[in-house]
Amino acid sequence: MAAPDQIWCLRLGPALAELAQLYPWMTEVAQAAGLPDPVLARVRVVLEEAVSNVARHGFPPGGAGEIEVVFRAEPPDWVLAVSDDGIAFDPTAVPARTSKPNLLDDTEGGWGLGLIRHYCAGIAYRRQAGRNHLTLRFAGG
Amino acid sequence: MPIAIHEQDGGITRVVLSGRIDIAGAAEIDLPLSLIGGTRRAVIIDLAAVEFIASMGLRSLVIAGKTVLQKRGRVVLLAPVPAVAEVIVTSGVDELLPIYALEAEAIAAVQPD
Repeated sequence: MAAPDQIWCLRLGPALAELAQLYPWMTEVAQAAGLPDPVLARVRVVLEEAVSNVARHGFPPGGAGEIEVVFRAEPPDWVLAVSDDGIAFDPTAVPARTSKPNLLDDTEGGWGLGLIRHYCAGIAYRRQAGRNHLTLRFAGG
Repeated sequence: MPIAIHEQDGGITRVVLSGRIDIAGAAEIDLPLSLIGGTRRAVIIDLAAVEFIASMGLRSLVIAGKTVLQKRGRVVLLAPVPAVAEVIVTSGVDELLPIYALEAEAIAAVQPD
């Protein structure tokens, strides 16, 4: 069980090449935090989805920008906070799909939000001082 | 995101993926997968050595799978680990690309009638 004041932070730009940092960073954080493997697996997916959403849609192509990822323990839960200075976007306002997508017609997929909702015990969004703040909560394993 | 392609008996192609299919990994497999999708009719995508997949990886698999299916071919997924299977099932991708735990089942599923 991690001490409640343990907190880890990563800053990256929106270029897709920077997203390769997410996986090794989360491996280090998980080890330092004593994060159980099943929780780590969930966090990894959500981290990838949340940050790649921002990187792909939140900034003009080739534009500068900053994404900040913070992971912390809030026993018994874990919290992933993703903030960015891109365009305002509230993923919690996107209606949940009522049926599975027709994969034969749908090429883009759009599975990311469904995966985030599946894995998170809580999702909260706010826009503050020109930044999106997305807070994602995971139940302790 | 290494990818290895094995042509097996009975005209079956086995695509072995390994490592992580994150956004970078998906970009690495897109071209080889689309080449396979364009030319093969019986494809097993072996996921046993894949440790991570997210939506961009799902997209790569679905696009290649659809190319095979649209030619009336067959594509299945083989032996994903539980964390990877959960992503596939949650998104409903297994309804298009069924999951098999055992190679013999996968072979039977893609073999032409």
